[in-house]
Parts: sequence; C-alpha cells; structure tokens
Amino acid sequence: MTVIRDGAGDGYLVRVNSSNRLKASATTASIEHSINHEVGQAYNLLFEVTSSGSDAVILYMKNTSTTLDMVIEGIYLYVSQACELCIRRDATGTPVGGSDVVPANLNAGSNKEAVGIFQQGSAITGVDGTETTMFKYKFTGASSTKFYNFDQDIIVSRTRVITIECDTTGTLVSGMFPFNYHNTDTHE
Amino acid sequence: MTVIRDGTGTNHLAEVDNKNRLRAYCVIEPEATFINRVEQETYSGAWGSAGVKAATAGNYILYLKNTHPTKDMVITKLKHRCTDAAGSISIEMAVAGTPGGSLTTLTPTNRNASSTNEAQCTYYSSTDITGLTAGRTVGSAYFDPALEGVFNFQEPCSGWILPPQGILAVKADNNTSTHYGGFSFYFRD
Repeated sequence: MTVIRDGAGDGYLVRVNSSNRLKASATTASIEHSINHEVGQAYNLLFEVTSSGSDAVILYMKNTSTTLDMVIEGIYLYVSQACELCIRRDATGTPVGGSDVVPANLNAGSNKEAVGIFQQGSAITGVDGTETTMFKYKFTGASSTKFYNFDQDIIVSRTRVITIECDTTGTLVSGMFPFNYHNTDTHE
Repeated sequence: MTVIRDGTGTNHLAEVDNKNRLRAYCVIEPEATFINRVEQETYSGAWGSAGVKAATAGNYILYLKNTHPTKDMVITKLKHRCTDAAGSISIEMAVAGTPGGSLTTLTPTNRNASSTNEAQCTYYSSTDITGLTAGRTVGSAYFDPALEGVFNFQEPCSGWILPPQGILAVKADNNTSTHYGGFSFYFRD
C-alpha cells in the first residue's frame, strides 16, 4: 500500500475521497487539439463543386487507414440556392467522375497526409444510392458559410465511406469537413 | 503490487474500474484558460475597426507569423464578418516569403489584464500584401451581409497550429467586400 507524495518538495500527500476517487487537478485539452498538436493528424477537407442533376453525389470520402478511425466533427457549408443536402454512410461501389481533393493538415509543422480516398464532383457515379442518411440539411435559399456540428461526431471506421448528395442541379456547394484520425487502442 | 491510499489519514483506497482506469475526481481547466491564467500567453488579434478591403481581387489582406523562438501558436478561433458586398476568404498556412506593400501593423491584446506579456508575432493587414508564396488552404468561407454574414471557426476543434516561424495568411476573393474580424490564439510548448 502506498501513498503518492508531491515530488516538488512540499510533502503534500494525494487524497483519495470516500468514493475511492483520486483527487486531481487537471488541465484539459480537447482530443481534437491533442491529436493536432501531439500527433499531427487533424485535417480540413475543403470542397467546392456545382451539382449536376438531381440527387447528385458531390463528395465521396473513404477511410483507407488500416489502423485508425476517422472522426468528423461537423461540417461548414455554403450553398448558392435552395436545396437539400444529405450526408450518408455505407455507400458501396467505386466512384467514377470525381476529382481528387487533398485534405489540408492543420498543423503547419506536420508533414503527414490524410489516408483515404477523397473526391469531389458535379455528379459522382458508381456508388449505390441505398445508403443510410445520417444528417440532412434543407436550405431555403443562398446561405453564408456556417458550421453545423455533428452531435456525437461521425466515426468513419476503417474501410467505411461517407458521401454527400445534393438534390438540386446547378447548386454551388462549398464546404469543409474538419476531421482527425483516432486510434481506439491507444486513444491517440 | 501496490495500491494507492489516501494520504490525509482516511484510509480510502483508490479504485481502478473494469476498463483498467484509475477513478479520479478531477477539477478541470481548459488549456487556453490555464495558459491565460498562469502563463499569461493568450491573445486577441483584432483586425482593426476600419476593416480591410482588398485593392484587387485575390490579394492577401492579412498576415500572421509566429515569431516565438520555441513555442507553437495555437489559433483557436477566427471570428469574421464582412460588409458592403458578399464575398469570400481563403485561409492559408505554410505561406512563405517576406510581406511587402503598404502594411498596417496590428498588435494583439493580452487577455490577462494583469499581464504585460506581448505576443511574439508579426501581424499585418493591408489592401495588398505582396511578396508571399501561396501555402496550403486550410479554410474558406462565404459571407453575405444580407444574410448571417458572421462566421466563426471555433472550438470544439483541433485549432490551427503555427510552429515557430510558421505563417498564416488570409486572401480575399474580391475588392468590394470590407472584412472585419479577429483571431484568438495562445502559445504553448
């Protein structure tokens, strides 16, 4: 049995309360910030595209990391006209007609790159349309850029896919996905 | 094997849960608050009350460089609005070059009223900051004064991190919008 003593020379002893909890004073940082600062694995995926056709898939992102989950905090969105956007999971198939987008690392001192397939397009084909909708946003007209938080985040596990679909042709959609990679084993 | 016992004489024993975590009662303080209170290195970097309008579309209008010798600059928030006309901005990191042109020097304000610390940074606004080489775009936003017109990059998020000598710059897409705003940032090891 041991007690923990202050190592700075004051001789204070750590207290354990009646609920058997060690009393601690902690400085906290969000896990997103910690991953950005300590690991260099936080990114923004910027996209800007004009949709073509109804229910067009305009963004496709797949986590191809073999060890890390992708955690998306929310989305920044601007639209040029009234429309409805759906964020979906579980698309299958191979995307066709999109162009690659490289997510920007948010630590200027990190040279790491996001591991995944990231594509934008006016109407990406080759992926099925039976996925589950996780978030839906309805705009009644043009908007300014605004942040929409994902309560509880979106977790894109290894090999899984997220898509964004726009229901109205000719809509300019500009946005950003802030995301990071998280190792559930090491919690980094 | 060692267990942890209360050091104040009650003989309470520290518990480890079924996920192998020590149970603790924590008084917590966000890192930014701790740094403001203890290290006094948290700042507001407003862009000036007059706002900034680009002379030509596509000009850099804001420049922020971390000149601290050892600490990273952590930018936690960008608050932004524009007037006069709808427009957009792009935010770039890893920008290179030496800023030129008619520069207005901005001085960030320490958020601890008892502190005399000053931010170790170079901070300019201008209608046209020249001499810069584009970095990587880490953010962009559209503004329409007729709509919300206010934009916040804010927590919870990863923040933007500028290591010593790192540069962030803001580019305006047109010369009709007047931009207002400011950064919140702090320095840490």
